Amino acid sequence: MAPIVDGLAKKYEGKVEVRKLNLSNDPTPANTFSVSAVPTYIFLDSTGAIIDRQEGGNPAALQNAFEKASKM
Amino acid sequence: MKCPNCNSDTPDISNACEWCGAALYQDAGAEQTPGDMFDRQAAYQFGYGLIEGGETPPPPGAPGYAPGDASYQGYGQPGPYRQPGPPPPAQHRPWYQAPWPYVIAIAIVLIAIVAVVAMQHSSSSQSAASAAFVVNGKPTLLDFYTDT
Repeated sequence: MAPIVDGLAKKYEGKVEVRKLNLSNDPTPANTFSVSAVPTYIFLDSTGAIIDRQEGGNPAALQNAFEKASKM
Repeated sequence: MKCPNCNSDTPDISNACEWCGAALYQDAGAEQTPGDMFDRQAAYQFGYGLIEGGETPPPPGAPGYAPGDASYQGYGQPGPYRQPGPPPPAQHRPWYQAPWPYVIAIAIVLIAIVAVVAMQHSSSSQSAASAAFVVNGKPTLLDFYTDT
């Protein structure tokens, strides 16, 4: 999924930021967002509110979430 | 009324005929004949003025006469004073007169209010924590991964 995420990040550059969180180094964010599996993708709006959440690799759903987040 | 002496019309309020001067009413101290006055007892006994098919009330003091009945006897005797009794037992009262439905309703409303406030507080806390992960104030994708 990493190449897909990188491609979408480049496509929506300037509209949607991507922040990668390695849970092997710091599991704190996993607790904050109750992440229990990887890969997990959580989209936040500019205020920090969760607007979408996906678990597992689904390129189509991920692109829809990017599109949705880019219009906010 | 008609004067019994000269048979002339004279005002009812006069004690004497205004034409012949004859007394219209007997003196209070004069002896009265049975037919001169309204005999209440006779009127009572014979149903004076009773409409057809009607019946007279029981005689004063007769059995069945209500103690408080003011008819024919003047004002009746008031009944004995009785203390107000206790309220009926709770099990005989309808549910809406019991306190517990209202207590339960108030408790449900309070629980709902507390739950909504707690949810809002939790949501705002989550949002505040999430705001720290926003990059450059723009919509942000958090990509959780591990080395393995």
